[in-house]
Amino acid sequence: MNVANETGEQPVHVLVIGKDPAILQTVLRLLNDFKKARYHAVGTTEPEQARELFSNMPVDLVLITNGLDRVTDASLREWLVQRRPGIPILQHYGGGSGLLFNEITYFLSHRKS
Amino acid sequence: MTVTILHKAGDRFHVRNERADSYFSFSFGDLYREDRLGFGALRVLNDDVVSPGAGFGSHPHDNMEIITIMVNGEITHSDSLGNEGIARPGRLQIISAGSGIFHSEYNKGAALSANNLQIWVYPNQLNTPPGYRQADYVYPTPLNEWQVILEPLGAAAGDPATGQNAVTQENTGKLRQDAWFNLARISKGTSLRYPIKKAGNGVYIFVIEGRLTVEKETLGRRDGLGVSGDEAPEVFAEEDAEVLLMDIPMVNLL
Repeated sequence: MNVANETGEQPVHVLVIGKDPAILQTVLRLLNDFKKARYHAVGTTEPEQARELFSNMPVDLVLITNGLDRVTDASLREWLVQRRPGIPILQHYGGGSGLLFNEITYFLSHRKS
Repeated sequence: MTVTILHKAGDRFHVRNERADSYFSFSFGDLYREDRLGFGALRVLNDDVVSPGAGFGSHPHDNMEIITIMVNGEITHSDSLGNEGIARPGRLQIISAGSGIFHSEYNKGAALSANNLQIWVYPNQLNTPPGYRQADYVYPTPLNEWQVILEPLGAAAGDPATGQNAVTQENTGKLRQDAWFNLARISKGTSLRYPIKKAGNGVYIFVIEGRLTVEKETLGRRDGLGVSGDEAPEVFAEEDAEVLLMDIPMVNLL
């Protein structure tokens, strides 16, 4: 989906990866708030599907939430960086609305500078 | 000691709705200032007054240590692990969100508001088993001494191996970070020095009531000050005061 938001900007495309389906759905729901339309987020609980999505969709930011074991997490990050080095990979803490938009705002503002 | 951040009470973020009147010392939710993204591992300090009968319905968390300290009133907790509990002055609660937990928090009192400090600390390990713990501490705290109410999990002999779902009757709670929380009631005209527990940690001081001077800064009710350095900070009570002091690793996770 590439619908411009109310300010005429393209939404930020976010790929979310986390093992807990309920938390993943919460994060996706928050990001896909259509009233703001700042983000377009897709997500998966499976690292392999994350690779597939990353290869076939526009992605501006990768958000890793919870539950990936260390080896899987490291392997996925390495693959993502090799595939497209400029895409920020953000560890999301807190699992909900508390820090989500703060973290993304910080990362995106620093990527631009 | 060097003052690194000063948060005056009136300069906090303010959100008011039917369920709560909240002041945020740090950026939270949609509210963002880049100079308010935390103090080391301390990321959130929300001063919530929850309306009678109101609260926060079930919602998720992960990878965060969430501490509730009651100033007055009671908050009833329930979570997806099957835990239920009540936090009140003298009984704090800690949610180790770890790999994921859903919880709700309500003020079930029909008439009285409940004032709590909800504090989030980044954990020192990701994706641990989630858990809920309570700890009973002496309240009101003794005069003119620091009372440790929260310390690192594993700091004391006999700590549970995981910390999962251990409702303790001890006077010190446990969290998954090299952090110590201390409360003190300080009489007017008294100085208290705080020896930092771990080299490299900083100290964030939050005035619950009263007026203090720390490092030449005068702090009033609900002001906060972060300091770092090797020396033990000294707190001087300009008037009778109650203070929360958090001894926090100065990690930067952004």
